[in-house]
Amino acid sequence: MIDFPSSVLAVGGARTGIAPVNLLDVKDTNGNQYYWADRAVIAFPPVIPPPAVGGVVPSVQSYLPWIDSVGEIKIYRSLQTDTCSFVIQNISGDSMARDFERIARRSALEGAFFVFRIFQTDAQAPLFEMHGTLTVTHADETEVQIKGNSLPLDASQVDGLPMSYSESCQLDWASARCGIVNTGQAPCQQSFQTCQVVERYTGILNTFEKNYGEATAATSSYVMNRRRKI
Amino acid sequence: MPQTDILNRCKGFDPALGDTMNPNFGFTRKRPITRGLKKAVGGSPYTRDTSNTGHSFTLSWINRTWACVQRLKWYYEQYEDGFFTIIDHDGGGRHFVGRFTTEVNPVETANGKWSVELVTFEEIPKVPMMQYPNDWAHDSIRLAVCNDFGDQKLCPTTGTWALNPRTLGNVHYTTLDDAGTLGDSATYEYKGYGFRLWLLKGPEFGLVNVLLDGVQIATNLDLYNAADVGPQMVFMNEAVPLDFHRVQVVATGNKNGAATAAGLSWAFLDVMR
Repeated sequence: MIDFPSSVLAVGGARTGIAPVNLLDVKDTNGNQYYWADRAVIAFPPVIPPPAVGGVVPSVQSYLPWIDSVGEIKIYRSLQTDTCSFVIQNISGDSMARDFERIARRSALEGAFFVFRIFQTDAQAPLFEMHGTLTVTHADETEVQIKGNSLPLDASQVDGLPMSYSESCQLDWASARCGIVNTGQAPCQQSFQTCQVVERYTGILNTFEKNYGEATAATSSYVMNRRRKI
Repeated sequence: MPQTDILNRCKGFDPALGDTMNPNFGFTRKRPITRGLKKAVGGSPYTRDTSNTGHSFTLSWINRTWACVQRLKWYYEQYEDGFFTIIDHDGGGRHFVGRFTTEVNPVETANGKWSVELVTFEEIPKVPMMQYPNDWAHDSIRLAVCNDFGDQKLCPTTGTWALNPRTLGNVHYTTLDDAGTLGDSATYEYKGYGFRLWLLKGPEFGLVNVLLDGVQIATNLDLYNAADVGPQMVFMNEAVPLDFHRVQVVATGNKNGAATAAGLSWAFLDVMR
């Protein structure tokens, strides 16, 4: 459990006060950094370090008032990816191009890393913080809608899972992860009964499968419901 | 510098216009509600200031010369994407920077006179002013360490601070006290213009720095006084545009040679509204 600093507990819980500011630190895949807020603030501590000035990384950063609104933040408390959304203004710029267009032209923000904070300014501490990657979902003449997917787990971003849920061990026999040294002996049959390094067996043990051999597997006798949700 | 363009320079009659540019019925000085309010069925209300919106005026000029009305139209169009200054001459001469947000629509009345009614002037935050509001006796509010509900509002951001109830004459107030350790700081966030900072002065207080919105604006303010004199206005900054601001006082760990300690006690913050 992460405790709030005492400064937040004092002023964040007070019955009167100034609304916290929404801060969005962004670093795109090309290394460009952007600092946006829903009101202009100067000299704020960023999470994503700004570019070094004269070899020194500044400890504070100004935030541009580009955030029109912060949409729904969904937190699932499970393996499902948490999401959030932002509406960014798409008006500022000049007659040649809007500011956001220049950013989109450079990197499109696709996959850009972000840190979103609801920040209690007088306490100099966030009430809420979320890390993830961005994708642009909609852009029109006045605003841009951006969606954020949380880190560290976004299962849809994983190309291939290394293993599947199975009774069989999926390690290659005599591979480094398997651990057995090939001295010409017979290889295993990927089953628990035939496993030669049982402490590294990667299958799921149960009492249902008996097709590995004549002997009953020396496994737990508890009945497992393999269709349960974890 | 659009803030130097003043709609109504003269308090009275302007010979160049054959009229006065001051509106009829004065300035209402209405401030739109910008705070969220929630109240539980059986609780005391919670409020949060959500916007830095400033004053809004509904102004009328009745039976004016064509030159006067032309000037109004010119200001409306010229500053559609900018701002100018209007002066509340009847209310102490306070300046406001902003622009007309509804159309200036002249209507001829009689005898070559024209009326412009119910034009909205809205103040614009975060822009410079020729003269920042300075009527501390009438326009400022006092922010204490704790609000009237007893909730702590002054935020100790670094170091060990303690609340202490005190009495000065018949006045009861609370200070937030620090031993004066180098780098210890406390911050107050407010909405408004300039501020006046009240700290305790006495023999046991040291040297402090003051930051506004993270930028140091006062260095080594000496809080030493031979006698304990209670809260004193130790620093004032009037030239601050309307916005959310945060005032931070940082202990330096240093003290006047005659002082017995380097302490720091925050009493009040007067804020111009």
